[in-house]
Parts: sequence; structure tokens; C-alpha cells
Amino acid sequence: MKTEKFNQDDAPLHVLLTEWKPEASLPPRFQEQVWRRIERAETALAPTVSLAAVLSNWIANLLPKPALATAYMTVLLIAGASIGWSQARQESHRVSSELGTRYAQSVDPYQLARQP
Amino acid sequence: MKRGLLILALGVVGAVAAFCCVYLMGTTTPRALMRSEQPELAWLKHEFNLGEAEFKRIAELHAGYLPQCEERCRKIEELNGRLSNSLARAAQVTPDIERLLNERAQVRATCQAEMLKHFFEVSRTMPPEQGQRYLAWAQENTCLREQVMSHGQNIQSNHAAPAQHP
Repeated sequence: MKTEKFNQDDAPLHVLLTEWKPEASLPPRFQEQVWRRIERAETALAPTVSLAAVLSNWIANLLPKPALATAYMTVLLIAGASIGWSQARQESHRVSSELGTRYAQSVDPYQLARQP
Repeated sequence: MKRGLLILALGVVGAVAAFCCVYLMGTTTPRALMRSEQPELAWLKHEFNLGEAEFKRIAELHAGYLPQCEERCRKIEELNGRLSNSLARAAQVTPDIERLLNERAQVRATCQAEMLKHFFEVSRTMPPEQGQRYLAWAQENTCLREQVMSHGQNIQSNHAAPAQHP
């Protein structure tokens, strides 16, 4: 009942509002600016997560999980062994080359004379 | 957190241990070569897969060759000294300088011939296949390798280093 009465009282206003058309135009790039403000507001609200916190969380919660711990250990063991193998190969090659040169120098005195 | 840190530390320790184990295993032979009494001969033994008897014979040949080689080097050094003295006094090529140059060239040629004889002797002591490899190695890595003659031109060769005239 109250609503009906209210509507009857506001009928002229309603007619006026229906007929009314805004004359003012929107400022240039209005829509883009609105989106930018929304974006800025959302960024400001997002909590900042530091690398240390991520790492700490990873160590405390994820690393102890058996699957991840096994994978982590396996990767590190393989990496260590691979680097060791590579270094050993280089060292073997270096020693072999050095001793070959030393043998050549021992039988060929011209080798030493050629050294810079 | 404690458990996570323990796993983290174990991973690092494991990686270091794996590195050390593989590195030490991989360098067993070179370390043994370097520790031997005559590393260069030990290298020869290893490189050309020599047996004990072959290695012993080659070590004897090596020991017999070195004093002769040193004697020839001493002769060349002496001739170098005499030639330097003659050149310091001379204003042109004198018969004495020519004689010294010839004599030095002769000793150098003898030196190279004796070296080649030694290489052949060593190669014959090895199994035939290894002997061939040894000769090829000696030819590539000693003064027996041909030197490209150049008068300053930029000659590039994969097989020899250029000897440039001054």
C-alpha cells in the first residue's frame, strides 16, 4: 500500500526522469581511467610476499613431503655427480696432456727451445 | 621447519659427497701417474697400454738415450757460443762462420736422426698397433714434424706451426 502511494506521489518525478537526458559528455578516456584506478586499488590491497617468506614456507611445508624430498635429493645427487664427472674428465685430460708434453720434452730438447 | 632444514642440508651434503666420490674415482689414474717416480714414462705406459716387460725395456731405452741426447745438446750449445763469438767479430760471412754453421747443422741433423732411431726402437718394443700410434704421436708432437716455411706470409696450416724468417 505504502509503495503504491509513494509511486503515485512520485509519478511526475518519474516522468521527468524518463524524459531527462544528460547533456554533459564523459571526459576523454574515461573508461580506461576507471579501470586503471580499479587496478591500482587492487594492487595496493594485495599483500606483499617476500622471497624469504616464500622460501621459508617452501622449506617448512613443502620440502618435508616425501615425494618432493626424494626429488630434491635425487636432483642434487645427480648434479653433484655430474659436475664431479665433468671435472674429473677435464683434470684427466689436463694431466694426460701435461705428461705427454713432458715426455716429448724429455726426448726432444727442441721442444723446450720452442717454448715461449 | 626443522625437518625441512635437515632435508635441505642433507641435499647439499649429498651433492658435495657425490661430487667428491665421482671426482676422486675419475681421477684415480692421473693421480697415480703423477705420484709415480717417472710420471712421463708412467704416462707412456698408460697411454700405449704397455705391459710390465715392455715398459721395463722402454724405461731402459729411455735411460740409455738421455745421456747421449744431453751430450749432443752440449755440443750444439758449445757451437752456438763459438758462432756467437765469431759473429760478434765479423763484418761478413767468413769461412770460420760457414764451418761453424755447417758443423752445428750436422750435429742437429745427427740429433734428429738419433731421436728418430730412438722412437723407432721404442715403437718396436710396443705391440705393433701401439707402436704405430706411438710413431704417429712422436711425428706430431716432436721436432720431426715438418715446419711450414714462410717469408712472413700468413700461411695457415692445421698440421704445422710456421717457422718465420726474421
